[in-house]
Amino acid sequence: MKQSEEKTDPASFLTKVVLVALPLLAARLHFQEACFLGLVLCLSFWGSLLFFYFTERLFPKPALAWAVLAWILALGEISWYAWGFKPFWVASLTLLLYDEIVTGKYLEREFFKTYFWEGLYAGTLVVFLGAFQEVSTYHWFLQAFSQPTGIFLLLALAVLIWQSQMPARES
Amino acid sequence: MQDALFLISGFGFLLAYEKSEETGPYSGRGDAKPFLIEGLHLLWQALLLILVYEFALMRWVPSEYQNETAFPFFLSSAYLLNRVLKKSTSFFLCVFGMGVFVVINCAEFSLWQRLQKAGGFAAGIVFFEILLAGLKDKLLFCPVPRPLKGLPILFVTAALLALALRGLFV
Repeated sequence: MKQSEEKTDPASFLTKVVLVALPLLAARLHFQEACFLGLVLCLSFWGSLLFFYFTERLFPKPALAWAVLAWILALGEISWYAWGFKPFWVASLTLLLYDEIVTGKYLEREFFKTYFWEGLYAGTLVVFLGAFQEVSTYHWFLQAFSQPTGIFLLLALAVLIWQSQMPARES
Repeated sequence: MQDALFLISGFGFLLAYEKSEETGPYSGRGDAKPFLIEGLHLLWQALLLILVYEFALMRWVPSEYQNETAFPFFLSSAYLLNRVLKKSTSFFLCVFGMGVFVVINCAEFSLWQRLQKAGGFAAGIVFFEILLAGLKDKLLFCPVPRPLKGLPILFVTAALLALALRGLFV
């Protein structure tokens, strides 16, 4: 896919955001935890992009990948010590962040057109999954939604709704 | 148990999804070989990490800091191993997730039990990956309703697979 097509292709954009939710399957979240984690994911994604945007020149090219890894590691450690989050959430951050910075794609793209919305959608999806898990498991007593089965079905629903509104968007 | 199922299905899906984009759809019996080789890579990397953690770090780090030390250790070691083997980001995440889960959630188990768990994990992820890749190939030729084509039907398939796996252990 060409660079210009990739920028505007909403399907690839959604795919990336949805895949980010998958590593979070390992951490079953209550609603409040999900809200907090969504916020942390979103802010750390924007913060990391801005940090590397300004400091990228300071790192020699072979050291950049290690610098990104050390940055992710530091964020994971801080969240673990400070709030007790199991570190699985950094897997989502790595999927969002790592390739963009190491390949230098983020320098070519517009922040508000792509990354702002990517971070926001990823955070919102985490909150949505947490809210639905909480309601379905503890209020409706549907145990299936606290398991991978339910989460996959929810993600299928999210993608279906997104794809169904695409013709309206294009016109 | 449930956490393990979450990880196996999630990472299996990630790997199968990524591989199909790299190599094209799964097409026949002979093509299961790369998945099995990938499973072996996954297994020996996890075993290596656990053994090094057990015999080197556990002796030097006080017990109250062992869980926290596991995180930077597994993240950086998994990355280093994947740099040598030239594997993808998802594979690196998979090794990292396996390592963290086996150490953190199974702190009370012995080394032998941890190694068994790591083996079960690797086998589970590869099993899920092969199933999903084969089904994805079949879905290409099925009359799927247009709005469900692509990612939605793949998630529905993954959900049914996860349900079947869950049924095995209840």
